[in-house]
Amino acid sequence: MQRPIAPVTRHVKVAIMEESELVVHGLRAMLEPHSALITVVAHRADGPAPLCDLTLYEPHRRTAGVRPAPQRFPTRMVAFGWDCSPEAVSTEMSRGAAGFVSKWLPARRLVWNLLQVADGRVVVDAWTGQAEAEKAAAEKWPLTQRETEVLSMIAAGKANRDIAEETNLSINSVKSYIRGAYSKIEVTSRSQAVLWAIQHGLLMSHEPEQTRPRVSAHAAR
Amino acid sequence: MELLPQSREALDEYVTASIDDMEGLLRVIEGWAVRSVPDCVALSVTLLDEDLTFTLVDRDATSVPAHDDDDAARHETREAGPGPPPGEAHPLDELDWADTARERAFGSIASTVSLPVVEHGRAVLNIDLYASTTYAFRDRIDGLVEALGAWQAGAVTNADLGFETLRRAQHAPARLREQRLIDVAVGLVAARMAVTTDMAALMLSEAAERAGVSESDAACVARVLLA
Repeated sequence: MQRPIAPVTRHVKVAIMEESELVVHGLRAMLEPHSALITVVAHRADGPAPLCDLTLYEPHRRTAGVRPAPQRFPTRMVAFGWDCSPEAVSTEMSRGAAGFVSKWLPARRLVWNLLQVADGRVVVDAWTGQAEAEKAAAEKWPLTQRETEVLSMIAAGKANRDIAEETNLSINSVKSYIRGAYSKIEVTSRSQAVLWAIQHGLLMSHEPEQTRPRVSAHAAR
Repeated sequence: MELLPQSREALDEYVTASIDDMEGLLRVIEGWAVRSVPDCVALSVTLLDEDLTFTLVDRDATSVPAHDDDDAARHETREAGPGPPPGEAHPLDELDWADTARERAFGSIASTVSLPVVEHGRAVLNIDLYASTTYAFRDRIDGLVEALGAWQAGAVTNADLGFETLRRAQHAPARLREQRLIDVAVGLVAARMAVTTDMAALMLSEAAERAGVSESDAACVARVLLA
């Protein structure tokens, strides 16, 4: 959803700290259409701090060899990262960041957020687009829960009679679910159904207590 | 007519996208067969692609003693006495029943007709009808061919007086179990090797041949290794 650009009375200058040329130039190009409102300058930690309203930084990654996160905040510091997990956001906000904006954001939304932060508000926008993608995938999951359950048992090599017994369904119902599932996933043989089930995470353990697939988890794949 | 117990088991396991209700189809064929040939006492339908046979038998006409008093009495005697284990010759034992049906059917079957059903120039189904009288099918084959949609030129009479299709029907559940093993293994191989299921089936078949084992044995090994 496109949000309107927040009205501002001044131009905002944003420094981007310790980033690759790719990101710096990419961000500049991305914000170029909004240059009346916002400009980007690069900032190296070993160089003089530019005069700016905000500084964007990549949040500290918990892997070895990564540069340290800023310890002091000469200007309002805004975390600007790919990792937008709740853990990453809470870590940066608890360290005193003025905001957290996702690197996945489209230009207008990013500008709007930065202007908000420059106005003194605390903004967290951890949108990645993935939640929508996952939701869309879940909505597109072609099988009902019963069909999913039966298909996972087929993939585990169970006979129809065993499936009927375990699911308390009649044989005809089991066969009907199998035909329905085959039709929906567009396969014509059990081998293809097994392959589809494996590719979609439905292959069950042989342990009886683990025989029920979790549809929502699979749906996200 | 009644479904052979093994045919019932096979029907429970058999699923195909092309036929919603296989038992329904068998019953339709039975209806046409009995109406056209009153002396028809058994019929078998063989799915040629899957090499699967399902059989229906008229127990009364073939003298199959499923529930008669004599057999029940014999059964009780065996249970009470010191003879062979009761399960060995239980009248409801599926294999025993089928064997008995076949043996007794020999005496009851006097004529047969085999009717292939052709689709797009290819035989997909074989319908075998068995009658208790010698000339039961005389002058009736044309009607059967028309009613069952069979291929007239392919109709053969008295080719299965030994009721061989019954034996094949007995083996259907084992065949389906074996095929299930293979199908699952093929799916696993396809997933792990990132190949199509056709290619995976070929790989499994070649592996079995190289190892000198049956395809179902190779499928068992593949499943253990890859699941």
